[in-house]
Amino acid sequence: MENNLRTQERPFFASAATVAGSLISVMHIAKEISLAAKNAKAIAERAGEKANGFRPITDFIDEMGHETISLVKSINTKALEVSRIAVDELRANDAYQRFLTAKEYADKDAISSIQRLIDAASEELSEHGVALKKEKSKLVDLLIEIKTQMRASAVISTCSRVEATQAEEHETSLGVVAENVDTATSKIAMIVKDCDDLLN
Amino acid sequence: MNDNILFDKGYQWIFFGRDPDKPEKIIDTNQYLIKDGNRSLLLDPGGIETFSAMLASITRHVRLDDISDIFASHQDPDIISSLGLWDKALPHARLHAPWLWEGFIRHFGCENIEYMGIPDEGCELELNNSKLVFIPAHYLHASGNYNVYDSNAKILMSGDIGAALEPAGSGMFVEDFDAHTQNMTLFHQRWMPSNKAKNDWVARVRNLDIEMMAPQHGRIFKGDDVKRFLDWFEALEVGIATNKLKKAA
Repeated sequence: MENNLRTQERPFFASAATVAGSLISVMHIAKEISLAAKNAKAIAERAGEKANGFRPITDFIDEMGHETISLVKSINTKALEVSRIAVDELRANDAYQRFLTAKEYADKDAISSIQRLIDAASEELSEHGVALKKEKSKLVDLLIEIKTQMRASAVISTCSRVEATQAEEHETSLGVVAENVDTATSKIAMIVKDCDDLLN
Repeated sequence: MNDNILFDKGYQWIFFGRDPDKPEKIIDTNQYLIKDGNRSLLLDPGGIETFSAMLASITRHVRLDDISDIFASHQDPDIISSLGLWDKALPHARLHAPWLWEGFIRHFGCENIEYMGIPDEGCELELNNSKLVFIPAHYLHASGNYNVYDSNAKILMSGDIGAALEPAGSGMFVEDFDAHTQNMTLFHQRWMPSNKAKNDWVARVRNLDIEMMAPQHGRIFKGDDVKRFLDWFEALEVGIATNKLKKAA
């Protein structure tokens, strides 16, 4: 995944669309976290008092899974919006460049009418540039948010591992849950970092 | 890009083409403009690659604000892939194109220009002094396809019908019809899929008074060469690719 994201130089609209596409896998991983939380709840229920420390953590894990899914949906929508604006900017730039070429070919009398097109295209280009900057900044903020969430997830995974050791014969099962959360968190963090690199 | 006035009585028909700077590997195209005061019509304006040259050329003849209408005979990229650029250059214009192709042509970019779908049976468009008819030419070659007929100028803009593939720098008008058929035969046999549609078109067009038949590729037919073309086209078997494939098998 990271190689696909990192190796090629792309136009920005493609990078933003790639961010949207790569986040689909984050959604799957976040769903796995939610599933892990449900398993952990069931195990903690069976373990009774021995898993008293683990039980509240399962709620955190479940909540985090849902929040991650919701956040990824927002990032996905924003990344597509940014990609669309970038495509509009590219098309406006294409028009701008072709109007400039037409001006070179044009007769003196016609230059003013083509110059009007150049001015309008330039203005449109500038508007797209402003919109792109604004929406890209929102996208980056959302990525920061998910990174923060993944840091919290790493803490939860550590707590889970500690609490699992207190659950006696259920230690292995709960340890697996903690491990799953940890792996999922690392995977998401890695994808988000790649997305971040793409946008910057 | 070269230009040439084909008709000039109250309004003008202007030909654009034979662009010496055209990239080598793209097919040569003919574009036309009906200059009619503040209601001018651009016919089959061409692809993205020829846009700049085309824009510069038409400004020699008409103010951009006076181009109110565009016509696309069908959906091919050499006909109308420049639409996204015209959409920025002529945001208030209307595009007259086959209703059948609207969802496809819009892929080229059509945010500002108003799409006016031409119905299957064709329709009329009145500018200032000119009155045009969009004549159905379905399956010649696209499934939704039209010609433009001007009964006053006696010009039929025939799209791909009458097209010829010739080396760069060829003449503007057909001079030796028999020799010219060599440049048209394979094009029509391969691109035109239906003998039935072809013969129906020939029968309808025979009823029109035509002095000039102006295709989108190749040379323009004048005078008796128009009738010669209709006779030749009627006798030509088209849609031959399947026969060839059967023989090869």
